[in-house]
Amino acid sequence: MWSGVFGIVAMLGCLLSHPSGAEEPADLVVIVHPSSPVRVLSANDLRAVFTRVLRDWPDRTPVSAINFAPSVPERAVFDRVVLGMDPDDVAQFWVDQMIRGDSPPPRQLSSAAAIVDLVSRTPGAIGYIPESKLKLRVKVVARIRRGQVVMP
Amino acid sequence: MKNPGVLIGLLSFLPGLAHAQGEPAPIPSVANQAAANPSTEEVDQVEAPAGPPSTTRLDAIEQRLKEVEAAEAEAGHATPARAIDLYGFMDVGLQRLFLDSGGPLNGVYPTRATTFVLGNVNLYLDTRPGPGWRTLIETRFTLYPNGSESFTPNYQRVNTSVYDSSDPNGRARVSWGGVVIERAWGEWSYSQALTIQAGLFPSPYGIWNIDHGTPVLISLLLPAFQVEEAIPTHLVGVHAYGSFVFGALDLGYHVYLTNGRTMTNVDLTDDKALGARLFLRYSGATRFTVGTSGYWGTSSDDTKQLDFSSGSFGVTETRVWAYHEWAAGVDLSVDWGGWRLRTEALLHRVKYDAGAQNEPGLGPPGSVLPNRFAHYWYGLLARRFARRFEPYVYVELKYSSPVDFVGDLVYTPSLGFNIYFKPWAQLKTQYSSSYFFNTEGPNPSNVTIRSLASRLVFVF
Repeated sequence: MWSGVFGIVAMLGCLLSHPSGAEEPADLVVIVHPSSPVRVLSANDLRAVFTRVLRDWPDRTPVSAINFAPSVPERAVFDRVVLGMDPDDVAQFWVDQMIRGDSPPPRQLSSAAAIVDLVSRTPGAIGYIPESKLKLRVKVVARIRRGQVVMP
Repeated sequence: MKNPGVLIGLLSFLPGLAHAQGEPAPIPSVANQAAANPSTEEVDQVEAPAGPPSTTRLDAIEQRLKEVEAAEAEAGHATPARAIDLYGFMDVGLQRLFLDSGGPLNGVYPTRATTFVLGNVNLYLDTRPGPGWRTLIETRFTLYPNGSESFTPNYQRVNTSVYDSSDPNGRARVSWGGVVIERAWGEWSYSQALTIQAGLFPSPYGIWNIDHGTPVLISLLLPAFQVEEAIPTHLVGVHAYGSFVFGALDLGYHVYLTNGRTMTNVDLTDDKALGARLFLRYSGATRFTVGTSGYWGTSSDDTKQLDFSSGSFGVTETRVWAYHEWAAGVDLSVDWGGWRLRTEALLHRVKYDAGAQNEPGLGPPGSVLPNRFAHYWYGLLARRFARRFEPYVYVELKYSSPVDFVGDLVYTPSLGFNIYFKPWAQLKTQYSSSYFFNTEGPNPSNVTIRSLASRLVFVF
């Protein structure tokens, strides 16, 4: 009888678990508009920015956070290192925020080049990209290396 | 399209498509423009999808265009398109109330049978007409007033069933329902420290009224102060809020000036109600919020009567009841690992003007409500396992002074279990039992409530 119960529990667990694809390690750079007064951002600062707790930069320019779409591998790395959440936690977090009537999640792009382009043209914008895609038209304010937020 | 450069870059994905369709002429010219544009060149290098052209690729490119436009609008870099974000939630479930037959609480609940229920069907309409501006409307679609009951003083039940005159055979019936406006406000944000909101909004106090919806709240059972509206749950007026961020900490405030608790959609007095909330929030790996809320206001009801006694037409106003009230509360919420703690305490004071007390909704004929204090507390401890399963224990106390007709102390222990299938689908189940005591006299008989409720919750 107990084996049957365990079997049902195991089946339920399999049904509810989501497939865990192999996550490629990636070094990321967090980029802002070149005119931004911000020079360095800590993990706490990034968490405040990407959860929309922080809405203005020190010079009162509105923060415009640009995220990767959930399907992009770098997004999972960023969420885990900076927010300390897995993809479902992040989705739940934004569901909660929207039901409360708070701000919706940051806009999402699936292209690193588009993020660079938008950040380079928009005062107040902040995004992150793989280090290998870095261009000169943006300013780096933090790096994510080996699962940690480090100085630029 | 607000950014031709990005369009050109994205279209530069398409040389293979142009070739395949036998229309080579336009694409090279676009590609040449793209080559002259550094940003589009990057897009081409980085993002050009491999493989043969297809409608899937076109769809992907169109999707990216939309993303870029939306992000630009969000950033205030471009004029946003006229768009409304639509989202919401609904819950449906099964419940049974175990009431003592013949007890007074049978007058409050329509059935003691096991019944399916349609709970909330809430739709949000969210717009951002320009940088710093936002409007949000949340409506709840309900089957009410159909089936609602009252004792005034005799039992009555509302029946909204009518013939559907648009039905070809003319005999079909429909029961019309209603729409509850949960919130309807517009706001302008001056800075992180100051946003001004005007309209109808959920009163920003405590945890429950801010979390607000079934997908967010852990417990199905509402605390007594929420059910009894110790602070009105919705208010019409103006609301200022903001916060000051210090790394992972932020200190925030809400201040609101409103009509307060009113018997109609407008205020019958010039007195306005004032409320405020102050909170400190930590948003690290462990998250906590500690807050305090307060509310002060007046409430009253008038009747009017046509008066022809002086030979000319007039209207005589009579104050039926009036009181002053205040409430103060504290709250704490902690999320630590899989543990989730929620607790609130609230004190509510009501003091009537002389000779202006009102009748209870359910009580002996001729009785009136006294000046009173009500003390409320609840604590909820939940533990989420494997990110999906969340058992919790919930305990609530309410103490009223003086005693009312079902006692002065209510104790409600409860157990619940939530399953989070996906962020947009949950199953919530809760068993609770409420015990009523009279600490100053004989305990009331036939007054206990036990309930078993479940809700399947969807977010869309």
